[in-house]
This record gives sequence, C-alpha cells and structure tokens, in this order.
Amino acid sequence: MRVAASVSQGRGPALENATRVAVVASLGATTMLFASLVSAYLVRRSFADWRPSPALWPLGLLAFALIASGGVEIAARDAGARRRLGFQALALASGLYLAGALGVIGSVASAEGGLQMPFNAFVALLLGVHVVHAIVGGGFAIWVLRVEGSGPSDHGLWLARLVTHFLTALLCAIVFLLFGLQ
Amino acid sequence: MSGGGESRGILSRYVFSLDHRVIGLQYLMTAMGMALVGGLLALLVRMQIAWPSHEFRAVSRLLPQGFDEGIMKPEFYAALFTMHGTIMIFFVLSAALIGGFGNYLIPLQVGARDMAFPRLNALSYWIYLVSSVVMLASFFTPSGPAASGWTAYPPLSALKGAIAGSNLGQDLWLVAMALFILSFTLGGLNFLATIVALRRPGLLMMDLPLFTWAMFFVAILGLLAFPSLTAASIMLLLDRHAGTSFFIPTGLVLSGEAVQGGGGSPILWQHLFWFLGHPEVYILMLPSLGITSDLFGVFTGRRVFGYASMVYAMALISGMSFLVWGHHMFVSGMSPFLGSAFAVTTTLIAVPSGVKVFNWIASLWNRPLRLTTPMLWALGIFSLFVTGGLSGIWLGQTQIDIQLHDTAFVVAHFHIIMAGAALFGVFAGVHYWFPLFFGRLMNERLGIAHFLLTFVFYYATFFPMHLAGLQGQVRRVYDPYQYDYLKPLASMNAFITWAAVALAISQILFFVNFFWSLKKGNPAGPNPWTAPTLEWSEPAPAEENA
Amino acid sequence: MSFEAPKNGGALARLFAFLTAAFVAWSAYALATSSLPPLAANRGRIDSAIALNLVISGIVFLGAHVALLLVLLRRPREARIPHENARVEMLWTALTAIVLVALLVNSELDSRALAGGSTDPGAEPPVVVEVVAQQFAWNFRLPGEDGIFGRTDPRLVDQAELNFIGLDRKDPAAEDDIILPQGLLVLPEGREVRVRLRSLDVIHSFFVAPFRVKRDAMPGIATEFTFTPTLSGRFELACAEHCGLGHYRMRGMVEVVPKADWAARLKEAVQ
Repeated sequence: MRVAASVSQGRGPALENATRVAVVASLGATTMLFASLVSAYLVRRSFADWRPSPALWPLGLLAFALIASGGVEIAARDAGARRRLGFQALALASGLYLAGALGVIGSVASAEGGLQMPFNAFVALLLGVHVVHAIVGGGFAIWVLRVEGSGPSDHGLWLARLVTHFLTALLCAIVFLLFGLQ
Repeated sequence: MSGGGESRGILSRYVFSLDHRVIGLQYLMTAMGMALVGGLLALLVRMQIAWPSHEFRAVSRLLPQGFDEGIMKPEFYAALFTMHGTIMIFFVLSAALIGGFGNYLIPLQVGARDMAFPRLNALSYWIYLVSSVVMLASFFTPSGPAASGWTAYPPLSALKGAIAGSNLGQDLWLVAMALFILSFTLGGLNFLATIVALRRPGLLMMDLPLFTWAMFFVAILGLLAFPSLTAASIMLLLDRHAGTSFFIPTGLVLSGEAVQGGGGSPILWQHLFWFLGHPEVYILMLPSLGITSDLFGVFTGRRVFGYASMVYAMALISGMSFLVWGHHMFVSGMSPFLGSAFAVTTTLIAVPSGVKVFNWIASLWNRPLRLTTPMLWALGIFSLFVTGGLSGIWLGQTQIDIQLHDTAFVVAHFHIIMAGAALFGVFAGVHYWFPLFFGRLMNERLGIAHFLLTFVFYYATFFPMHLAGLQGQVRRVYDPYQYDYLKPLASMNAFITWAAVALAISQILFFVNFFWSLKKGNPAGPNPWTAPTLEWSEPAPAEENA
Repeated sequence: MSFEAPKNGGALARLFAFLTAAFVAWSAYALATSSLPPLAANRGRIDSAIALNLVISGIVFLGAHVALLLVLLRRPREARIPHENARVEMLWTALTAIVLVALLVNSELDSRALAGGSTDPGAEPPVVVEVVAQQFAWNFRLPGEDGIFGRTDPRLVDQAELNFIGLDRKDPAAEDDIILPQGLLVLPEGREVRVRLRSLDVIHSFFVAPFRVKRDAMPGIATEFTFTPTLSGRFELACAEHCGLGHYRMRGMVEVVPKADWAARLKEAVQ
C-alpha cells in the first residue's frame, strides 16, 4: 500500500500527514462508537431493576493491555536490542489480552442468567467490540512496524504508539465503567 | 475512449481500478441502478395509497410474493416503504453525491494526484457494492425484506413475530447497514486526509470550492455520527440472536403470547438511531448546498456572495446537526425540558440556513445569468431549500409537531428538503461535470425539458402532501380510507400518485440524455463552462485521447 | 469550446419564471383554503401556532420566490453588489434569529400550557383513562368508583377470555374497573381527561386529529397526557406509528357525550 511505501522509503511528508489525519479521524470514529455503547450502558444502569454485578475485576486484562502499551513505549525509546524486546512484549501481551477477553465474554455468557442479565450483556458487548478493535488496531500497529526494513521510522512508531495507547486507555475506561461504578 | 499503448486489461482499468475517477463513476453508476429500484418501490407505494385494495393483475404477476390475488399484501406494503427509504437515503443519494462526486472531484479540486489511500478507496466502493447486494438480496428471502420502516424501531424490528419482515430480512438490513457504514467510514477517512493533507502547495482551505468544503464537513459528520448506528445495529443483532434485551422492555405480550426476556428500552434505539439519522440529513444536504453555491459563482461570472460566511454557515449547520436529534421524538413522551432544548437547537439551525439563502439571493441579484442546465438545477435547489426549510421550522416547534408528527406533512417536508434538494444536486452535478467525466456535453434541450418537468412534477407530487398532513393523514398507512375522516382526501391522493407517475416518466429523459450524450454529445473541450475551479484545469479525457 | 447559454430575461427564463409563479400561486391558494379538521378539544393553541407560522413562512416563501422571479426576468444593469458585505450579512442573520426566537418563545409557552392540566380549583376532578395499545387494537379502562386501577400482569393476558390487558380479577381494586369494548372510548364533554398510555407489544401512537392530541404508546413505559374534549360527537382515533401489517386498520372511536349522559352511555357501552 502507499502508506507502507511512504513509511519505508520516507517518501512524501504530505502522505505521512494524510496517514496521521486518517488514523486520528478513525480513532475519533471509534470514540464515538464506544461513546454510543457506553451511553446505552449508563441509561440502562439508571433503571430501577439494575443489579450490580458480583463479577470480579478482570485485572489480568488491564495488566496485559498496560504491558502492550509499555512494550511499544520501550520500542519507541530505544533503537537497539531493547526495541526487539519491546515488540515481543507487545505481541505477547496482545495475544494474552485477546484470549483473556474472549474468556471473560465466554464466562459471562455461560454464567447464571447468561446474556439475559443486563450486566452480562453489556460486559459481552463492550469487551467484544473492544476485541474487534484491538484486532484491527493491533494488526495495523504490527503492520506499520513490520514494513520498516531496518527499523521503524518515527512515523511508524508514532502511529503504533497512538493506536496502542488509545486501545489501552479505552479498555481501562470500559473496565472502570463496568466494574468500578458499583 | 481507447487509450494508446495501455497494456492493462479492461478489468483492471474499469472494474478493479484504484483511480479515484473510475471509483467515482462506479459509485455514480451503482447509485443510478439503485435509484431505479428505489423509484419503482415508491411508485408501488403511491399506487397502493391512491387505489387501496385495487387489483393490479399485471404488477402482481411481476411480484407474486407481494400480492394476494392481485391485491397488495399489507406486509409487502410495509416492506416497500422501508426499502424505498433505506435505498434512496443511503444507497442512492449518499452514494451518488459523496461516493460519486466526492471521489471524482476532491483530488481534482484540491490539486492532488489521487486520494490519499487509493486501495482503501477501492475497498470502500466494493464494500458499498456488497452492502447493496445484501440489501437487495432480502427481497428474495421467504419472509421478504425488512418491514419496520427505515428507522427500524424496536420492538417491531426486534421481535420476529411482530411483522414478517422482522425475520431474515431485518438481519440482512442490519448487516447491509453496518457494511454501508464501514464503507462510508473508509471513504470519509480518505476524504478528510486528502483535503487536509494533500492540497496543492499554496492552496489554502479558504480557497477551496464550497463543494469540497461540503465534503470536508460531510466526512466529519459521517465519521462521528454513523458509529452510533453501528452500535445500535450490533445491539439489535444481539437482541435478535444472542438473547440479550437491550431494546426489549419487560412484560411484552405479542399476539397473546408473553415475550421472553426484557428490561431494555425501545427509546434508547431512537436516540442512537437519530443521533446518526439527523446528521445523515445534513450529509445529504451539504453537497447540494456546496454545488449550488459553486454553480451560482460559475454562472454569474463572479464568486458567490459571502464565501466566508457560507463556510461558517456550513460549519455551524454541521456542528448543530449533532444536537437536534431529539426533535424526532417530541411525541414519544420524553421529558418536556429535553423537548424544549431540542426545539431550541432545531429552530436555531435555521439561522445559518437563512444566511445561505440570503447570500444566494445576493449572488444572483442584478447579475447576467447563464441559464445552463446545471444552473437551472441549482435554482431549483434554491426553491426547494426555501420551501422545505420553512416547513422544517414548523416541525421544530413542539406544539405544532404534536399535530403534524408522523403525518404526510412530514413526508412532504423531508422529500422537499432532504430528498429533493439532494436529488436536484445529483442532477446539477451530473450535468455540470459530465464534460469532465466523459469529455462531452449533455444535450441542453433535453436537459432543460427534463429540469422543467421534474421541477413541476416534483412540487405537484410533494406539495399537496402538506395539505394531506394538515388534514391528519398519517404516514405509512396501507389504506388511509379505513378512516372516515380521510375519505375526502382520495382525489388528492390520486392526484399525487399521477404526479409521481409523471415525475417518474420525466426521468426517462435524463437516462436517454445521459446515454445518448455519452456517445453523441458535443465534444466539450477543456473548460466548457469557463469555470475557475481546479478540476477544469486538468485535460479532459476526450482531449487526452484525441 | 464555449456555447451560447440562455440568459435571464430570455424565453427560457420567462418559461421557468412562469412555472415558478404558477407553483407559488397554486400553493398559496391551496394552503390558504386548506383547513385542519374541526377543533374538538381545548387545544386551539396549536391551531393558532399553525396560523402564525403559515403567515410568517408565507411571507418568507413569497419573498424568496419573488426574488427568484425578479432574478430570472430582469435584464441586469451594471452590477453594484460587492462580493461580501459584513453589515448586510449581520443584519439578515440577526433578523432571522429574532423571528426564530420569537417563534420558540411562543412554542415554549404553548407547550407548557398544553402539558399542564386545568388550573381551575373549582373544576371537577379529571376523568382518568388507561389506554393500552396492542397489535392492532385499542383497549380502554376506567378505574371505577374507587379511583384505583386493578393490578395487571402480562402473564394473565388471555385473548380467549377477552382479558386483553391481563387484568388480575382477584385484586379487589379490579372489581369496579370499567373495561370498555375494544376500540371504543366514551368521554364526557367539557371535563378534563387524563390519559395513561401504554403498549403491550410494539410502539403505537394515540392520535385524534380533532383533539390535536398525539402521543406514542411506548412498551415498557406508561406516559400521561391531558386534554378536554369540547364538542360532543364521534371522533376517530388513529394509530400514528407504524406498528405492523395491521397498522392501517388500528382504528378506534372516541365518543364524546354531554356530561349528564356519560354514566348511562358508559353502562350501555360495557354491556
């Protein structure tokens, strides 16, 4: 793709700008998507029959997301051997996050009341949509980093950091809203 | 249009092309095809309203599943108006104005070689095509297409037993809408990136044609407003298949049987839907407003009056369009304070709209006009924008909306302002940019005849609906004459239907003109309208090949 | 190449102007001679608001189209209008805003007056009616002498027993509930009516055009509104929200009778 070409050959600062605009705009769209879902959740919570969940905080998920964010940060700061380590941490933590999130969704779906319980339904909904975004966003981050031949350019790292941190922040917000607002 | 020494095949040049011009034309052609479907559905709807329970032998043979012994089935009628609205709003008008003109013109008007991300652009078109196919495929499901209205209010759209269309048809509708939104989002990212980052050096934002400005705002509106329908569609799909109850309240009884689950809120869907729905109206309006302003500039030989205030007006309209969605729910029993707040935003959005109208008058005043076909369409948009804008002010006032909500008055209002102005914008754009697209001019005599007939029959079709609405004719009704108080409206409804038939027949002129001019139109030369904008400084394709 | 386009003042301009003028004249005539269904409740404010809007928007509509006609028909003299003029633009923006704010204030005052019930302390207590919409019929219930509606439960709905709203007949408050036959509501003239509206299945909307009343029946939520019928007669109740294949035949009848005849007519209707 042209993005890839521009990233690897350092061609076209205009196209790099365009990519930044597009990525920021797509994060804006994602924010609106989650804002819609969260406002639905907040409306539902305000009903009289809302029962707060007995579920435990999925701290593991948060930890994996934070490790992923940390990994990309390490890679950004150090061009040497630790950059490699940073990417490995990112990849491993992302994989664990995906497995963990699917596990949480599976457990609420099979819990008592299943998805008919409003709380369970919102856990599955918010985490599920986040998983889809994590796959797309993570894929994008890996792709902009992989297309770098000798090492990621500032531009590629900027994009990867933005997307990864955004997804982590989003997850923290979701987890807090679901489990912290009791 | 044979290229010299091109080794690429027809497929890669015209079908799987990454060229924004080809993609733009693909959008435009697909939208024209969908327009035929959407128009046909509208005629069937009108036929039934004017002559309910009449036997239509010939039509029923063409569409056997929708008719019972020659008489239209009520559930088929519901599917018709549902699909008509959905197809026209998203798959015809949005696709033509934004996918078609936007893709073709943005790079040219900002002086870029192509869109920022050509592959993404092609992907956007192909997803749109798939979503169109999915939407049309629902006509061939056993229970028929979605029938809960283009607004798909649950529980009607959530419960399979509520109406036949709420079976597989509704699922296909939701999936097609989600795909359409994805396609639109990819396109919007591209538009924004191209306009912001790929402008020719030295070309400032405040030098851009108002059409490109419109595309800029449209992209932002789409990116920020459409996700709420994605969210709602996911939730409705889960309600329908995963046992959740986001939109299904407790204690429903459907044809004597208790419905499982509950606790949800049907009004939540309305908030999510209209948070998309109202900005979508402006997504359709803004391109037409931009085209009209630009054409007034070209055909009066002078830049449109108050260019800067036109840009600010568009910005204000776009921003405010996120704050007005609740006016679709004035009679839903929502809090009166909320209602008042939405009435304020809705009514005040008329201020920037008024600025546009005044600036237009000042642009035209005391000027030598060139009344070319595109200019005529632009003048038509001026008239429609005034007429439909005024009835919008009526509906924005809560007390009047009590009487007129969900009546034919609303149908008149949005067909004139949103559908009409957008449709006229498509025609204005096609006539204006045809020389750029194909190197030939469209026939002016046919174009003028088509415009005058469309102008007359458009108003003849939709203006009387105001009167029917004032009389209390509710919309989406299969047979209005079940009500005694609507029986006197029978002749008016028949008149409207005849006008709609005439309107449809007039469109044949357009298609004849379009395809005839492709082959036989006068060669256009590089800048037939002597327009000052950048797209005309490119060599026209015909000249390229000469 | 360039070609000679028709100009304003020419034949095409005259034809277009004629069609526009014909449309404006026709629409003005049609609107001026059209009417709302005759008013039969205390909600004349809506009629006045529509009349006010008709006048204001009529002036703007005529003004804009006369401007269009002049643009088409006049041959331009030399142009004296500049590209922009901040003062003029401010002026018409302010004018538009003032008119709109005035309409908004009027709308707000009307809406408050329409939402509130009677403020007359000497007035009789309002007639409370429960309206339960279902696919595709209207159910009406009055609380009877105790003024309390009996309990309902959706699980008790039994169409064969004609228990459409799921009334719990064991509840003492239910004993004197008056359940009207489906689709018929009997109301006294000149007394305030307070409607409690709900739906059993999908969204419906309660619309009686002569009363200037419309309110969605939202499943899961009961909403209330009020009006006072001011004329005796039979008025059709329409469903205004698409509710399924039978939406078009979801017709009800509101019968308004003089106060003195109300009790007798109710009894007769229930039998």
